Amino acid sequence: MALAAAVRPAGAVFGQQPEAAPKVTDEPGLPAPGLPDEVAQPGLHFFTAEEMVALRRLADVLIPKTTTPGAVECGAPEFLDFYLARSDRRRQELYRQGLGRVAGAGEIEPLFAPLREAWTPQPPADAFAAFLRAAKEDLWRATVSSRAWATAIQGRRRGAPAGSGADYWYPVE
Amino acid sequence: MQKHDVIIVGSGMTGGTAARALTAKGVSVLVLDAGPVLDFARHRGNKSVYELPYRGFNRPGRFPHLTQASEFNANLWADEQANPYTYPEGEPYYWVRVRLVGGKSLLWGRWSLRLSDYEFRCKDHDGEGENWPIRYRDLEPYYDRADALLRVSAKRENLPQLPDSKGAEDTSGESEAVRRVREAAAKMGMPVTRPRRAGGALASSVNLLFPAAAATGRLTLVPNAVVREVTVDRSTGLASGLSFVDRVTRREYRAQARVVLLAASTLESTRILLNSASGFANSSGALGHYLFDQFYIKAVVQAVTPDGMASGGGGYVVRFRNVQQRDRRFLRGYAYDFGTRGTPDARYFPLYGGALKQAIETHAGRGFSMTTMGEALPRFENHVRIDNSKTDVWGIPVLHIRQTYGENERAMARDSMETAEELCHKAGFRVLARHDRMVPPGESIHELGTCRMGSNPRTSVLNQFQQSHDVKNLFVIDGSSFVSGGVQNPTLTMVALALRSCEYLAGEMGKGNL
Repeated sequence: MALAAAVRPAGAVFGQQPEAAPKVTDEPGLPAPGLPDEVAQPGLHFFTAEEMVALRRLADVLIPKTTTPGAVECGAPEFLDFYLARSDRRRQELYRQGLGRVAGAGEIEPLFAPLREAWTPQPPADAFAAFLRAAKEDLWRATVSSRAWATAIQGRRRGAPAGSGADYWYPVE
Repeated sequence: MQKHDVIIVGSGMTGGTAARALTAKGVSVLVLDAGPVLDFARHRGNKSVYELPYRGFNRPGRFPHLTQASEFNANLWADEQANPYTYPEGEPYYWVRVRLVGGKSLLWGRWSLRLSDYEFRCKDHDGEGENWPIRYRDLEPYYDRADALLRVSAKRENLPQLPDSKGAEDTSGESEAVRRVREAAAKMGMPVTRPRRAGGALASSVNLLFPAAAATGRLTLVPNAVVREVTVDRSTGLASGLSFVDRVTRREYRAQARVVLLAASTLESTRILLNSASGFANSSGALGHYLFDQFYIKAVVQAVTPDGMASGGGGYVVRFRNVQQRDRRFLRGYAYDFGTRGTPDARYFPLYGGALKQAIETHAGRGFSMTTMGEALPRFENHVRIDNSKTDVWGIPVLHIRQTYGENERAMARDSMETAEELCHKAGFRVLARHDRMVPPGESIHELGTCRMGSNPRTSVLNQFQQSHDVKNLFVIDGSSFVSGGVQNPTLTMVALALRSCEYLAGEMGKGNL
């Protein structure tokens, strides 16, 4: 006998008891289901046009196209524009200030010295170093979680992780 | 009103164990769970990460205290906004909750390890803390039954600090990388065994425990029943039942029973008691106190195995400190689990550009990482209490949770980092990064205590059968009853304890004592 046969709503077990005091203050509204289409919409959600130019430039150096697709080709900058628009203020400021510095630099690679330092669990104290580290990780992750990446590396035996499909749980109500 | 023999609050691993054990003895059981029933056919699908709106980055701010929540499983966890809790400024507690029939057993890692007398008799061993009111031999037969219920497989090692499982013998092979770790660890006096886990990808209460209970015809399971408090019979001082609100209809109910069993999870069961009549079941003053868990250091080392070495699988480094000889730096000990075959995250390579992509490709499948699981000492000042300034959406006062780690845990954390690095060197693996930063208290999802057992009613809430010293028809059968926790994943011990207590309970009911 399956469990389902033993499951009954409270009303069926206890009838309707007198005290129906509405103590509940608010229904936990279901979270908005994300906005998948918005990523694909033209126009910027968070960055200014200048910041977007700087982010693409950065993306092209940090995760360039090689034998596998690069961050720009995978739409990582556009995704980060969507993601940063919904992120907390601290992360937004980190990107704003970091990209400002990238935009103002003629050569950007001389700025990258912090990326040659070993990883530590504590974020770097220097804000620009912290930005570079966040940008590298975010751009890489946005690259390998894109459809373009998954399509390009299909059939390769070894390679970076791709979105190969996993259990997804829909809202339970 | 219908009166059941026993009401169980919670349908996770301990609630399921009790429902199965009691219905088998002829007892009629009502199970209340705060959440709905998960329908695998309807609620589970398959998606690629690029189909998700946040591409696996997760919606910012949805689960500020839940590192386990991903965009794939976000809908399974209890909503933090609807179910708030508080903690002291600067001392965050990460409380991981599932409000579904089946509870956290729907998602657990299935590690199934026994405690030993190093835990049950810990005070005898080093003078610290409190002994349990039982010894290993009292629980051993119930561990055997728990192994069978959960279909545990294990490799037998004959170690005093990690008693062998009676489940199926794990005879699977070992990759070269895992053999290297085992041999290097042996030189350092550290035993290594195979993972000991419950069988099947979904070893939950819903598929392992409840079907047999339902088949007796003596089980009623009411989902969406959010319990407020235990109600008290004023003439006897005993529990008369529970009051709860139906999550869907918002109606308020009272359920009556001869016996109340709380199995709502470590902190939720204690919250229900603290929200009941003032001083209820708390003549000891220990209710809410002695909160602990196990401190975790995730990826304490991240290394890579040599090019060309066959890798795959993982293992478990059994606790080794303060077993044979006393360590001067700290009490108790820690264990590791380790895994091979992953690919190190981009962050671990001090590179960018084409060189970064090349390094990730070169090291794909060659990752080796370890997680420290250390014993946290139960301390009175680590506690939960009701925060009267806040309620959840059902109007139920919430918990204020205060847990910090102390010098003993920090000393162990440092040692575990250095030892893990040495192990990698001895195994011939190249270390990319190491650290000794513990995750916040709670994140290990091994929260224990706040309603501890003991022989002395003045210093403990429950007796050796998880029965309230004060209120004879009240039992708390989940992790809140633990006295100490060692480093072993606690679920198997929770199941064994619940089996033992329910056997006692059914006997007492049969004799007319309850």
